[in-house]
Amino acid sequence: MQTRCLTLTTRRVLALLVLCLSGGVLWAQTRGRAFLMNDQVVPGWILKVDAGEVAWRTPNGRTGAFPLQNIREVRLELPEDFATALQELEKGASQQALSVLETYADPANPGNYHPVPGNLSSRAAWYLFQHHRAAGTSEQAARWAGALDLSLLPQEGKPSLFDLYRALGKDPGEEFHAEARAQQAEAPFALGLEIEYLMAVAYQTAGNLEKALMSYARVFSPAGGVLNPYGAFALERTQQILATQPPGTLADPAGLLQAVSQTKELLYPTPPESTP
Amino acid sequence: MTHLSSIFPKCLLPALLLLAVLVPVEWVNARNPEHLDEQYRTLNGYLQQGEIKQGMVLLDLILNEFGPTAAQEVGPSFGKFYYLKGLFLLAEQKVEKALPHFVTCHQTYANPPQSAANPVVDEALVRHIECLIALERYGQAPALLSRVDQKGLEKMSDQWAWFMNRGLVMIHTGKGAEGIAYFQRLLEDTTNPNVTPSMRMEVIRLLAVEWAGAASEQEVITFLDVARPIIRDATPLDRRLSNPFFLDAARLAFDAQQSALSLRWLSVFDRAEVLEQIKEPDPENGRPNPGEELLKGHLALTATVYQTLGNPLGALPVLEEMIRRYPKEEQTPQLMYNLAVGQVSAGLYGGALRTALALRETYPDNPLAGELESTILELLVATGEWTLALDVAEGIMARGQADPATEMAGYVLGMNAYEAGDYGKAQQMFQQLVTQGLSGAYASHIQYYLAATKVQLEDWKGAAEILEAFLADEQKPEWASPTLLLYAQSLLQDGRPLDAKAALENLLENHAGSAEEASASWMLAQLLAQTGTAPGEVGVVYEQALSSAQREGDAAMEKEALKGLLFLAADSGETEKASQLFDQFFQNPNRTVEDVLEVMDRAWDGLAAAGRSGDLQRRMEDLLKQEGSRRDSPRLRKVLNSYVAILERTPEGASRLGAFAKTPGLPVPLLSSLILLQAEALPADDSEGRMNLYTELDQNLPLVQIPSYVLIRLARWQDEQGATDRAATIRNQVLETRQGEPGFELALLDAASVQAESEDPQQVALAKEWLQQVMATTQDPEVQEMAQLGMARVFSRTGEWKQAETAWETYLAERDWTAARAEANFEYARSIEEGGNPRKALGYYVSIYANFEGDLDWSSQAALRAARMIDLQGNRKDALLMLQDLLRRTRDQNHPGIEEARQQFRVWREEFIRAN
Repeated sequence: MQTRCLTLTTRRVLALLVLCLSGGVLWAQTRGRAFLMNDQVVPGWILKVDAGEVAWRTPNGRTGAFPLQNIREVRLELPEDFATALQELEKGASQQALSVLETYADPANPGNYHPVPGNLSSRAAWYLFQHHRAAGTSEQAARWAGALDLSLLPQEGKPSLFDLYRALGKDPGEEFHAEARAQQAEAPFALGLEIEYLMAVAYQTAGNLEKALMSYARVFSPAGGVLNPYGAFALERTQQILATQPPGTLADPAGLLQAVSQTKELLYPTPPESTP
Repeated sequence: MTHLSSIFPKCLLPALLLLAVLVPVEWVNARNPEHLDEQYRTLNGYLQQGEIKQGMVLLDLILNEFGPTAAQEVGPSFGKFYYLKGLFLLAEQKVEKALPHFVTCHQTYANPPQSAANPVVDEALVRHIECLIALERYGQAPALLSRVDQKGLEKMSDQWAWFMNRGLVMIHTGKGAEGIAYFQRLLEDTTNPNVTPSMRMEVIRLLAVEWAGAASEQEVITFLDVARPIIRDATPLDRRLSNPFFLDAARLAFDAQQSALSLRWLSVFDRAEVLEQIKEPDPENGRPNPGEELLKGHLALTATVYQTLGNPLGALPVLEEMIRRYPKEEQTPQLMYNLAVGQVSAGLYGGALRTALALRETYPDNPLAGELESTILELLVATGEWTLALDVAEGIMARGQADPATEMAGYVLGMNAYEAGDYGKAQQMFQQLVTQGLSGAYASHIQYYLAATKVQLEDWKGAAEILEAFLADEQKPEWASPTLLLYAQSLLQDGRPLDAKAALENLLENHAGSAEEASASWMLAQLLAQTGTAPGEVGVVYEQALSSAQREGDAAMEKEALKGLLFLAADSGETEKASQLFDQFFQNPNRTVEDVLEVMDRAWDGLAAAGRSGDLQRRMEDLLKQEGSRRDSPRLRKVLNSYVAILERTPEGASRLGAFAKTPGLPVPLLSSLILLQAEALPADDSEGRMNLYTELDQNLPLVQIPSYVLIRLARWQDEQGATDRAATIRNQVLETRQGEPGFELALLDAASVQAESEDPQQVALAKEWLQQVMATTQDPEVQEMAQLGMARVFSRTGEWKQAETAWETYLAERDWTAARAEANFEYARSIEEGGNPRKALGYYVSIYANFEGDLDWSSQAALRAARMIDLQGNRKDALLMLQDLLRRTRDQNHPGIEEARQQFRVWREEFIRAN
């Protein structure tokens, strides 16, 4: 690759850019704007992130590199498949959409520009975390919370329960439950239900199914189905435990499964339009 | 319940007042109709400023002044004062009183035909309808509504309120479906920008109380499907306002036994908003926060609904919360009780125990605490959670109260000890409960198991006494049958066969068809057989046992009954029947190897007479092949012994053994055992044949696979051949390489018994050492017995009489050791005799002769020794009488001991005759 130094129009940008010419672009590029630490905004295309530098191409075709520490954030246009996947997720879970996002979430893929703030990998992990959290697939949410470096998402503050989700992904034991209970005592009602759900998931993961069942019950039982999405997930997981691995101490797992299934239908009826 | 705010929306009153103000009227004084207009404006001012009393005074003055003649004097425009009177009364919430004034206005002062419409009259008509709805007089409303429709007056009312009123009238006048459809159209119409989410929520609230209670379940479900998204998107305030309505609807549904529908209503209740409501300061001083009552009602109903729907998982968290929030309420102990029972039924035992403990600690004097523990204990026992049940039981017992909970706890602890074989502890526990006095549900259990424990402890008399008393008491019928069976067993063991027989006959006569019938029949048949009853009669009872066992599906008892019938048939020469029963026995799934061996031993002759000997030998050989691959299996030795025993009964036995040993593919443990058997069966002088067999054993088979007892004997043979090194190698194969293996102690025991036969004192000392090692290490009672027996025999053989006496005494002290009771008694007496106390020994000999009459090896020796001692004392005549008694009793017996006694008798008799 042949390179040569360029002269830029502004001195301030010149100070930040290590300019060089590119004989041809051999890597992926994504359009966006780079917000620099000195409040400059540089439109263009991100080319790659390598060795502490972000290769950037300006609209007039010049190519150069920003030192990583000089970048506050890059705001990239989402690639089409990324954007489509997000739209699909908004309509409902789609395995294909999740697969697309998971590919983007891979920080090892140079096309995702990790670790520049605002990179595609972190954004994908963020959306995956949000999606799984809302869908009650808390183990997956915990996984993405664990993979996510919030400092690379400058536009977002730390979401509620983020640390608890991270802890859930790390073999949650007594410490996890103590922390969860402490947070629950201070949390608003709806958030308290989500925390109880996380505790139930932790019990289930640890194979303590009796405690898991009781915790799931604490999620679905006290609050109306209309305003408590975690109740539906709790009921589904209760059904799953009772159907596949009921604790031996249960007097009548089949009867209980039937009652729980009925509860699910009463609190979270199948929407009329989806009834055949 | 219809709320005025629904009928008369807040936005309506100013509009009405504005209309009233616009009507042009003149008023000068009270009697002057021309000045009425001025008065009307004054009244409107009062109404607007809320000066209702002043307004009413003036209005009453005007109405009294003009009322009767106003229509003529003033004309239709006077109706507006009645209209105003209605409005004033409405402002005071006096709907009932307001209504006739609206009626007067629109009926007495109706707009004349072809005249300009007086809008107040039409307004009065609309207000009339609204009053009717507020007063729930829906029946009169439809006709008035038609007039409104005809006149196109609905625009005079607030549109939304008018539609709601319209729908309400439909619902209450038999047009429910039309009404609800009307409402649903309202709810689903999102095109009207003037309709706010709050207005939709108001419709939902209205329907929750006005319609849902009388609607069908499906109608409510459909309505909720429409309402749910509106509720979800409503403001918190609207949801808060709606909560009491939803709770009422849920209660109505539950009261109508529609629990599922009730839960649907609860699903739209906003719990979070109630919790927020509770946090807010009291709306008025001294009044409870309405949120508290709402939450309490919601929790109570939710728990009840979940319980009714059979979902304890749903009910438990609600109960938990109620207990946490209202720890001092009167019903809290009951809630804790319900919670614990629910926890047990959901399998959450840990939680249930914690709840029970909390109840006991918080309300120590509440009877529910004891009742709960008892209930939990019962549930734990019923679900087989014995470990937890024991914890609970111990806690209850520790309090030392005499109540049903304690009784049950004692029962659980006693049964645990009983099941664990700790009969002493079980007896102590049951006895303690009986002594305290029984009153609970487990009284019968405790009495029965106290007796059963005594049976296990061989306190037959004690067991029989308890059962006798138990039977004498009135008791539940289900206990009579097992009690009688246990009673019969105790009596039999206590030496009361006739009473036992009576008990069994009682059981069979009065409790036919019970689960104990098969066992009782079998026991009775055994008893009858022992007491010399005719085989036919015994057979009938065995048949009864068989059919009862088959009916009950009791394969174990069926097998025992079959064995009884088989032995009976074999003994009485019914060979064909014996043969058939044998086949039937062999098909029984509960048949064990030990059963087969017993049958072979006891029914061999009968079965052989039926031509089954070859078949039986083949079956034994099949059994040997099955067992033959396990090197040191005690069972293999048992089967081999039995096989040899049946071969000895047939002329071709020896050749059959040889032929079987040549069967290709026999496992080494079995083959080596068969070779040893052949070697030991050879005549004493066939040393060559023996040499061949032992050599084959030593050289052709891998030592590691040969059973220890075979190796021990092979080593002894090598010793006898002078090959001591080889003997040591073979013996060490067992003693050094098999230590710690399952059969090692038995092998050591075997080696010791072989070693003990040596004439070399050092070898004998080694045998003693091994025996002590076995006694010190083994946990197997059978091996312990054999070791003690071996040690006693060594001492007797070496003439160490004091040690022998102690060793035999130790053996006899263990009542469970029964392998050699007769020998032990005899040898014990001999040790005493040889130890220098013949007088004491004589008593034992006589006793042995009397008590082990059938065991000729020892009874004949005991009789001989006793006779000789009597003779030595110079009492030849008594000695002769003793031998004569022995010979008379054993007249037909061919036994070396008897033969010796016979010869002794002859010698003494001749001497006695010569001397006398």
